[in-house]
Amino acid sequence: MNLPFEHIRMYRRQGVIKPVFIREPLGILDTLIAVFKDHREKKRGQLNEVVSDCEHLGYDFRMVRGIASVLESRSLFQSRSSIPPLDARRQVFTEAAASVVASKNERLRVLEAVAERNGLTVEMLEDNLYADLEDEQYLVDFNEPSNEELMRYYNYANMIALLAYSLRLEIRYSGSDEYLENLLKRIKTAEVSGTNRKKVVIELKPTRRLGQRASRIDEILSRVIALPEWRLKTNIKYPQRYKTVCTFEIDSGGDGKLLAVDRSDPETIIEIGLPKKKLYKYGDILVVDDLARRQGVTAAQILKEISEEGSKYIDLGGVLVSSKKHQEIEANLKTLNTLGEAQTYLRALGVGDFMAVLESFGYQIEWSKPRRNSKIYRL
Amino acid sequence: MRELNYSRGQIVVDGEPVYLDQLEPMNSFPAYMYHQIIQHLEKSGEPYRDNAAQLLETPRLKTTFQLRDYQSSALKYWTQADCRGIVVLPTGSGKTVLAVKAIEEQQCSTLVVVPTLVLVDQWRQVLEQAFNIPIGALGGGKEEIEPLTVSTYDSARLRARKLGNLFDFIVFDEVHHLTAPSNRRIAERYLARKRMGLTATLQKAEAPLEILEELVGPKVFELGVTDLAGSHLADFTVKTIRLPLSAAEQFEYNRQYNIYRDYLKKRNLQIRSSRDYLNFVKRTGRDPEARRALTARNQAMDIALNSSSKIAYLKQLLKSNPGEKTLIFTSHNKLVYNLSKEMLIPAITHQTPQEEREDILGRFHSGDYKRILTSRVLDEGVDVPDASMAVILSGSGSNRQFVQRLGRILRKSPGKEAFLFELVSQGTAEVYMSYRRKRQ
Repeated sequence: MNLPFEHIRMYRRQGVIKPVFIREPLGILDTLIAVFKDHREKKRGQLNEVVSDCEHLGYDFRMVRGIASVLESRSLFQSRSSIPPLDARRQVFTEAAASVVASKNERLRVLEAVAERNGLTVEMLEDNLYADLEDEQYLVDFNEPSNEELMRYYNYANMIALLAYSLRLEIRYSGSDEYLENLLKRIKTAEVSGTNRKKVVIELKPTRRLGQRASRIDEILSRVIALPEWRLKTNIKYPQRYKTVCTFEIDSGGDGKLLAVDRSDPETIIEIGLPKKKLYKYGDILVVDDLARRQGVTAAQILKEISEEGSKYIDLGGVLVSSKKHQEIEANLKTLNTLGEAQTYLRALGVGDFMAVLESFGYQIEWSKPRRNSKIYRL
Repeated sequence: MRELNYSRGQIVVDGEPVYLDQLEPMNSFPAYMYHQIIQHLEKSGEPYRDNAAQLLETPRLKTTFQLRDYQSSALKYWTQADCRGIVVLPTGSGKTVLAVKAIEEQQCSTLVVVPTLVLVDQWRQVLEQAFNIPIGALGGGKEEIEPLTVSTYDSARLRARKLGNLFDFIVFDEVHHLTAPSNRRIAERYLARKRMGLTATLQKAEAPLEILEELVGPKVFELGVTDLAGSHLADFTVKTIRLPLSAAEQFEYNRQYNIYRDYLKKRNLQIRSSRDYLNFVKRTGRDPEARRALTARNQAMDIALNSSSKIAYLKQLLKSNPGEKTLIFTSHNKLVYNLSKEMLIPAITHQTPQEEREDILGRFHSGDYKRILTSRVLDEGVDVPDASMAVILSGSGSNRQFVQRLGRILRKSPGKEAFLFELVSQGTAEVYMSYRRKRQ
């Protein structure tokens, strides 16, 4: 995983940039683990408030937020409702509309009437009213790490977020990992050399799709750092408007010991555990830029090829959808609430750049952490 | 002979480069300069072939819509300005009708660009009703291109390179959105010679006017709500109610706000404009004290904007006006949901599913619901059924937001007088915000 980019911690001096690693288990790690543990069976809104308060404990707020992001990725939140919240609201508001509810008694009368009709208690109805909001979700499961594990997961996530700004990655490693090698073969800009001690050079262009870039780098490095011996050398332009390109180096013998990949992150597990889906030549839905990049050709060449094939696609602005899929996707997206759900749904259709598809269907995103839980909506 | 072609948002000149005023001779120009190039070539009498514009053929457009006197004036001024420019008219004064008449007058392919999908549907309905022809739509998964097409800003931007040479007239609804860097590309990549921008307010501080002037044209006509109140809009009264904080709230407010003020004093900083404030926010990334000051300021503003006396006054106000259709505006979603739970009033925020929002607005229209709580999502872009009372519990210092919120209660009906109550916490920075939002 990677941290949200606004929570990157780094220092830069004389052309060298380094992520700020946590080098020893700090008290804040234990504090935040305890906060998450104590909020099992409590609402996300309450948890967020306590995490905000932890920002005033004297640590850099970005570190606090970053650690909380790592812990959130190890948490499972769930909505709980006895009747559909939308239905509950409609009944309550209709009942209350006849008069102005200004006192506790008036409120109770309305809630009692609706609760009775639905066979619920007033407390259950109250709890049900906005159960579909993110802040009202319950923390139902939390996979508790030790403070040292958390420290390493945080360091890794912070480094990956910074590496999303890389222009060049040079990885040297010894050992063998078939998955990693297949992964590198699929990257057009990767040059692999050597047999026992391998050297991989990946040239990258600056991108605005940092999230996508970070997850690709994560996919590679999560395999690399599991190898016995490795070394990473990168050129980083962070932030992108910064004029100077800085270097960053790390290896298994040095600061590499401070890193570990959090295998409980569902995104990571899905990426590594499942065999790569074989793409059809065109598929029912495709993002032209995405496909062009993967095939190492221009978008115009892809479009020309498609047009020559005679395939009929609906163009949603760089995203091509077959007419039979179009309605199905639109209907299915309406039933989804979070970015994670949309990502899973669209990835299953073979879409790499799912954000472009969401945008083309007019969806907007209210970002929150973890990223997967961000709400999608359209006005 | 020169040949003009359109390619991916650019006008490409094959042959001799074109020398436009203040520019080096060039062979490639952003598409929005198309009319300048044509004017230049016509003026110089140099021969050219124009393959750039591939305008969609338009059937005869005829509507029975009638303009009011001020709308006719607006249209006249816009036409006199070479069919380019921005019209500023308050919410509910008929900007859409003005655009419909402009389309009828121009008889050419037209793209209407709007900020939300809801507005795409609303504009389509109006245009279908006006001209009785199929209207195209772009956005929300729709890609139907017709001589008259309505698009969201996002879709118009995504398809600019492909559709940029099909329309001769482009209407930007809520034109202030065009100043966002990504949206500017729409205006730059379409070659439409005729351009109309519509908005309720155009504040120099919020929208760089020179950019709009370059891309759409100058402001050609402007009327405010006071100009139309009583005649074409409902009479209205704005009441600013200053409410004291409770002793505990005042103590906490002062404590937090002083942390912020002390920091500014210590660092010799002055916040005189949004740019100063932005610079202060930037400091918070590297200075923990600045971060603390910002948090303290936010906490102080939370207290001022969401004070208990405001809630008590709101309850009293609703009790004494139970029959009035009321919109209650706040700045924070959290307050919307807290009040919704406490007073059992339906709420609309950006988190509200479309189906529920339509249901709430439908019930509000039919009178089943008398009150709606909302944050900023109803400020613009959604057709809100007529209300006669609005309460601003909290808002920004933006004059546009204030005018838009006021506009929500101004649709005229016989004998109607609209009331807008603005609740402000006395002795806090909100008093200044209230002053700023009402400043013309």
